[in-house]
Amino acid sequence: MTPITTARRASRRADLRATLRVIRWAARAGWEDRKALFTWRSWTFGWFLRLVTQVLFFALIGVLLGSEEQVHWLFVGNVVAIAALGTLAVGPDASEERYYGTLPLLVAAPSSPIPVLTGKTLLWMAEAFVTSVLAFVLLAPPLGHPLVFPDQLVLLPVLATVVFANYALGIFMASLVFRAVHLGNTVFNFVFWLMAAICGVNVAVEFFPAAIERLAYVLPLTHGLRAIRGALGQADYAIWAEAGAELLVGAAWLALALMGFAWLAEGGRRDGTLDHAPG
Amino acid sequence: MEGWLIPFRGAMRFQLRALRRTPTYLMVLVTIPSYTVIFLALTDQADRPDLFGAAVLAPVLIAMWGVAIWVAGMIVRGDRFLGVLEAAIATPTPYSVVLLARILVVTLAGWVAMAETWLTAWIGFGVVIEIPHPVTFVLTVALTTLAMAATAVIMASAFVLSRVANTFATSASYPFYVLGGVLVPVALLPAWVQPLSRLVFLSWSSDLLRDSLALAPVTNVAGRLAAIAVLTVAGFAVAAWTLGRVLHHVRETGELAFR
Repeated sequence: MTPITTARRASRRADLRATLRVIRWAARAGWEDRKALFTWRSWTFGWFLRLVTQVLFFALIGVLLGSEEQVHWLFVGNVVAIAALGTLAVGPDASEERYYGTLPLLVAAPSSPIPVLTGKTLLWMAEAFVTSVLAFVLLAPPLGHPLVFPDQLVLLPVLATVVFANYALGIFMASLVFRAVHLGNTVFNFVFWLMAAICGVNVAVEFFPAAIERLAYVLPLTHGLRAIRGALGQADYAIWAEAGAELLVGAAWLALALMGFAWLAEGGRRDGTLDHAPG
Repeated sequence: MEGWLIPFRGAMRFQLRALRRTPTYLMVLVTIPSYTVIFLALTDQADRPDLFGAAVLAPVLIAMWGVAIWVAGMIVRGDRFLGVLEAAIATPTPYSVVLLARILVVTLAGWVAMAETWLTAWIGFGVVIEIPHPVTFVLTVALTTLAMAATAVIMASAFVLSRVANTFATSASYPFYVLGGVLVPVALLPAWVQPLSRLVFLSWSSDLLRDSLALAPVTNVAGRLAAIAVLTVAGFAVAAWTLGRVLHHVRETGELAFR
């Protein structure tokens, strides 16, 4: 090994260490933000209760339709959807950096804004994953859905890919709404409910016309949900192929998010609008 | 009472102007076509045309409740941000009356959701919803709007008390949709939940609205409208009392601007 190669490797290791340090400190800041927003009581009886009742609301439509199969289909779809809901919300939240006036500092810093935003919102991913699993475990018995341990543990890595892919879309949305912070919540709500309608959460993707079906396949919920339904025997979907597709869709949204941030930073620096937050 | 009418009308006029400049008050409307598609797709797939009316009504009720709760928070946050909360509270008109007027305006505007759902049903599914009992329908709509605005004032108290009350506002959605029988009638809920549901005005409103879309004659209209009216008055009484207590507390501690 030449001295130049060794030096390059050492430099790469130093870069990686620096990035991890940024993520660690940003994660700490994110944790403090979350603590300011919730106590364990307000989280449990406020936010978590809302998510559980959201799943219950949709599962009960199966009761209205008089079909136990529908109850289970709606239950699983909406349990996975709340994992997407929790992670997509990083979009409006991250875009508030501009509102707080910290965005120019983020862009001026030698580190990329992505590790900072990743660190600050890392907790959201963990929270979305945990709430989804807890809602599944809590509601499965009263809704008569089988709870099979340890067979259903296979669902956990698939759910993690759903969380990652939706997180990527959330970060992409943040890069877009950084230019119009006041639209953050509106865009987030529109995108989540669009996915809830067409990505197979409530009715199978195949129900819709071909053009809508094609759109559903590039949104980061469809493939992961199909993998989970396949694993639970609700439909004849190939589990690992669908999970792989979910991962690819997530990676594509992450790449778009990186481009979005580059466009935001460069555009904002060029026209001097980086710290102008309309609304 | 007469003395409150002038500020009530003034607050309504002000909110109407604010609404024209702040479309985000009606943010929830962007989700309504999706809700409509979900409910209609489910009933269509199950071949249950008898449930189309319920499927189209549910997004409207969800939108209205969402608007009322969201706007209650936005008004208090906006007043605090602009530094007028203290002045608004110092005036002789109770803040609950001003809030009721302002929330009512946006909630009324939120009925645009009805056009949205009817259009989505027609364009997306070729479903045209008719109203065989228009008088019952209009009376229920009017009372429900008032009930939503009155009940949302309770949420405003939480916003006066805390800047992070948004958490509670978002949580005041699905538990009410389930208890209020917004799509799944209360009669299908477990027996022990039903008495609790009957204390939520939405349960009476959603049942009556669904019945007014059905061909069969609607029974006991007056009694059911009276139930919504009683719960509206009770809701506003609780809201005014809660807000009064909260304001008294923050005035005493001098923390109004720091909450």
